[in-house]
Parts: sequence; structure tokens; C-alpha cells
Amino acid sequence: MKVVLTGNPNVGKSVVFNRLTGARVVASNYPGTTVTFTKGRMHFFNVKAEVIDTPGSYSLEPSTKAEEVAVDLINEADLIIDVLDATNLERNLYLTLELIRKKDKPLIVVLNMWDETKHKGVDIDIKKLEKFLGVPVVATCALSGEGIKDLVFAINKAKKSHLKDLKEPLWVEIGKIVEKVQKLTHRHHSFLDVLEEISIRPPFSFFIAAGIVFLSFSLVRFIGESLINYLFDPLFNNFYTPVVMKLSSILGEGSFLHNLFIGNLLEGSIDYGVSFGIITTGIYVPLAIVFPYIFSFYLILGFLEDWGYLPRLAILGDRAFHKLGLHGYAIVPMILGLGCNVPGALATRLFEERREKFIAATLLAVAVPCMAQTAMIINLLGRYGGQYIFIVFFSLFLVWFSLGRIMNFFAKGESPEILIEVPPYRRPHFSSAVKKIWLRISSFFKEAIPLVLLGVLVVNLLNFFGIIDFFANIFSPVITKVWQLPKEAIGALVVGFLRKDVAVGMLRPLGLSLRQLIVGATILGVYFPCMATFIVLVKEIGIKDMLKSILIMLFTATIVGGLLNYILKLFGI
Amino acid sequence: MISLLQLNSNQAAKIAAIKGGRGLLLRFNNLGIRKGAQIKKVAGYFRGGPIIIKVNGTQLALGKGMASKILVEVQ
Repeated sequence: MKVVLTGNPNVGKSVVFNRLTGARVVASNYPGTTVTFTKGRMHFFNVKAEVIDTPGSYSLEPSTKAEEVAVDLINEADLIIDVLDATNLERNLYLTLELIRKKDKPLIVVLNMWDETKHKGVDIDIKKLEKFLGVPVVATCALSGEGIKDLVFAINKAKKSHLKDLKEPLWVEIGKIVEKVQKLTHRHHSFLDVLEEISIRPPFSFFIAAGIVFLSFSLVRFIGESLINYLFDPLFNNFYTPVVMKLSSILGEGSFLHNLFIGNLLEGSIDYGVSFGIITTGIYVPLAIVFPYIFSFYLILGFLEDWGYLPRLAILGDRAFHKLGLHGYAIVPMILGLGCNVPGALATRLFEERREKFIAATLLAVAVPCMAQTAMIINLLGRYGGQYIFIVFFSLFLVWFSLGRIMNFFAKGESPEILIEVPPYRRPHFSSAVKKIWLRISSFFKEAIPLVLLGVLVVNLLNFFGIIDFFANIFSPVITKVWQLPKEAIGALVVGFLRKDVAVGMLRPLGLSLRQLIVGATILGVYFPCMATFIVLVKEIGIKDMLKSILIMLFTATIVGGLLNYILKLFGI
Repeated sequence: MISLLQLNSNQAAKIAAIKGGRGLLLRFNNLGIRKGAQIKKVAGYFRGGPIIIKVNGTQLALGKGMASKILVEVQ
């Protein structure tokens, strides 16, 4: 049996899905968290089924690709679980009645966020609603798990509705139902309501946003750095290094296996940043440099997502994004991209127009460094001073903004305006937050670490077989003349296709000057997306647009590298 | 009858008419923005920024162009 979860955006479908299947999908408090479907199996008591989580949709007439996915899956369903936000019955019932009228399938209606109805003074008579709709209605609070059992038992009782001949426009019919089943009582403003009000009204909203953004970045940096300095570095130095040194003496310095696994020793000892063996740099980079930042980034992001702050940022940034041919909600793919470009690329599905998708995808790939890359840049340049890290990110920001303006000028068509639901603030739920960060971290381990190891292996093989020299000679005019980097830097550009973090790490053993490090780190961000992002982008925007996008990237990287080198030289760096 | 843009923040009104194509009407309708609906303007961002309104207890943000197509009657 195929059970499809459907409902308006941001009603908690993914949370219900996680509860039913034990599977884990990312759930947050903003519309558009889910942009693709996930299948999972549920087995409770004697109820077995395949459950499918879908992106939210307001109606059966899709206007974005994410909604199209949802509507297609509804057609395949044997049973539909329609999840509603109980505090917003009237609007949510629209899709329910559409499902009843247009899709003749067994249905269960779930009134989720039932706990919030009490604070909001919403009183719904479930029995009456059940009678009106002619299908089982279950109240749940998926975050805490309340009512999920009732939902499971309702699955065997699901049936098709008798309500077929709805004559009047749906919202008129809905009005009649809501009037009879729902009572609203006035209630006092809570602390969260007041916070909601002041954080959305200009001009205070801007100050609050500036504070929150600054605080978030500071916390990410602080937590990441503390984890490295007080946890991972001591762990590596005290426990891992001795083991590796022993292995090094067994393999014998200079042997092929030693080069592959341990890499080069510096005056008889290991330097994890320079050695470049699979079990030295290959393990140290993902675990002790990148992971702490991945953890701290997703910790803070998870909090902002669950709290419900992202849509507010979207509103505040709307006007600026218009200059780039996007609307404020483009902040969602960009912020996700700061963690990893792949989910950022997937989130471009929230846009309707090809033009918007193209601009957002190109900006994401060109100038939004993922956290792995960011961590490596901090590691690479931090030793010289924070201002040099700032130069890299400020350059990327300038590239992002100028390129956006240029594309907005040249790309044909118009970009639509923002139209989003702004969810209420919600207190982040501890156990869900833990599950979410665990989910994101484990996908980092599963997807990133094998590629990092592969990247380090490739570095060694390229060097061993002299393939690097071959590429280096072809591209040396741009690399040595325009960017003024040694031609060996091509190795980093080649490996950057696999993993950007390894690529940035490859700059260190080259013995570059500070200026060359800054130019190299910036170019590695701009010139090309990593393989995983590339594949997703090809799927999302099509091969033709992707080729155009790549031309823009290569061109931008050439110009920006040269310009940055020139400017830094002027300032005597 | 004035457009949503001209409505003051914190002012309540009733939607009198929506000028727009089928696609826009449909998207508005999905979000509860339809003729006859009671709304309240929560905030308006200056110089082309979005407008925040409350419909049926839900806050929505919409662009300036869209807001100019919604005509309301203040009661």
C-alpha cells in the first residue's frame, strides 16, 4: 500500500513522516523545506505501508517544480494522508476539498499542531468535522508524537469521502464548514507574538536582523574554533599522531605506500596540513578541520530554521535580491548553500521561472562557499590574521552581488515577486533539533569523507604519474600570467572538482606567498562547483543552462583572480 | 477604494477587488487572498520592499507589484 503525505507548505508533513517511518528527513519551520519526495516504510502493529513525504502544495494546480512533484505523487497514492495546520483550518481545507472533489481516493485528515490551537484560541470540533468531510480526522502534535498512534489506527479506517457534489466555489463551501466546526476566542498576546511583531516591522527589523546574523556567524566561528582547539587537535596530537608515526616507521619513509598513506614527513614529523597522505591529511582535514565547522554551522542554522527566522530574513533581503533578478526567498538556497551547495541547489526548485533558477544556481555555484571550503580557508589564512579571511569572503560577496546585477541586466524575462507565508515563531523542539543535526552530520560523513579520501588519493596518483604536469602546461598562461600562481596550482583546480576542501588544502604544500594564497582560495570558490553540486545543478537547470553557467564561472574566475592579484599587489600584500 | 500599498500599517480592511490574471488570482486564492476577505496590514517596507499582511490569522509577505493589484475598502 502506498500512502502519500500531502498538505500545505509548513504544516509538518516531514515531522509526521519521520514519526511514521522512523526515517529521517530534514524538517524546519519555514515553507519549502521539502523540495523533493522521500519514501519510507512503516510497520506498526498490523499496519504495513510505504509512506511518501512530498513537498507542500496549496492546491492541485502546481506553480513550482516542488509542487508538481507533490501533485504527481498524489496520483499514485492508494491512500492520502492530508496534513493540516490546525490553527489555520480555513486555508488548509482548500486542498482537502480539492482532493475530495478531484481525486477519488481514501483519505485521512490530520489536524497537526493541535497543541498550538489552545494558545491561539482556536477550538475545533473534530467529530463534527469528521461528519462533514466523511473521512477520519485525527488531531496530532507530530513534534511531540501525540496523536501519531491514532493516525496509525486510522489508516485501516480510511475511506473515500461522500462529499462529491460540492456545487459552490470551494471557499464558499469551506466557509460553511468552518463556521460550524470552529470557534475562535480572543486571547492575549504572548511573548512570541510581541517578538514576531517587532522583528517584522521596519526599521527595528533591520537592526534585529543585523544582530542575529552577526551573532550567528560569530557563534559558528566560536564553536567551530573551540572544538578544534580544545577537542580535535588535542585528540589528534595525543592519540592519533603516535599511531601514525609508528606506522610510518614500519612502512619506511620514501616507499610508495608511505607516500600514499602517510605522505611527506617534515623534519621527521607529520604536518597534517602538508603531508597529504590518505591517513594523515585525508583523515585530519574532514575530521579535525571541516567537521567542527559543519557541526557548529548546522547547530546554529537548525535553531534559526526551527525558530522560524528564515522567512523574516527573506522579507528584509527582498529589495536587495530584486537587484539580482531574484526575490527575497532566494536567501533560502543561499543560506543552505553556505552549509553545502547540494541542498542549496535543490532548493532552487522553489522558484517558478527558468531565469530565476539560472541566476540563483549560478550565484550559488560561483560565490557561495560551502562550510567545508570555508573551514579550510579559515585554517589556511587564519594563521596570517583574520583580515585575510575577510578579504576572501568580501571578494566572494562582491562577485556574488556584481555578477547577480550583470545577469539580471542581460538575462531575458522578468523575475516574479515574493509571495510567501510567514510562519509564527516556534520554540525549537530539542529532540527534533538533535535528530536534524545528526541527520545532516551523518550525511556529511557518508557523502563527504569517501570523496575526501578519494581526493587525496587522486592527488597522489596525479603526482605519481605526472598527469599534473600535463594539465599544468596547458593552463599555465592563465595560472601563471593572470593569477600569478605557480603552475602546480592546477592540481588544486583539478581536485576541486571532487572536493573543494581538499583543493584549498592543496594550496598549503605549494609554499605560496600570502597574496597567492588569497587569490588561490578565492578562485577555488569561483571557478567551478564540486562534482556533487554539478550533478544536481545539471538536473535542476538542464545541461544547456549549466553550460552557460560554467562559461560564466570560468570567465569570472579568470577576471576575479587577475583583478584580486592586482589589487592586493597595490596594497602591498 | 484604495490599493494595499496605500493602506496604513495596523489598519484593517476588506478586499474589494483584485486586478490580475488567472495565475495570480489562483495563487492569491490558495493563500486566502480573495474578494471579501478581511485583512490587516502588518507592515510595509519602504522603497519597493514587500508588504506584510495578515489574512485568516496567517501572515503573508507579498511584493509591491502584487500588493498594488489588491484593492481594499477600509471600514
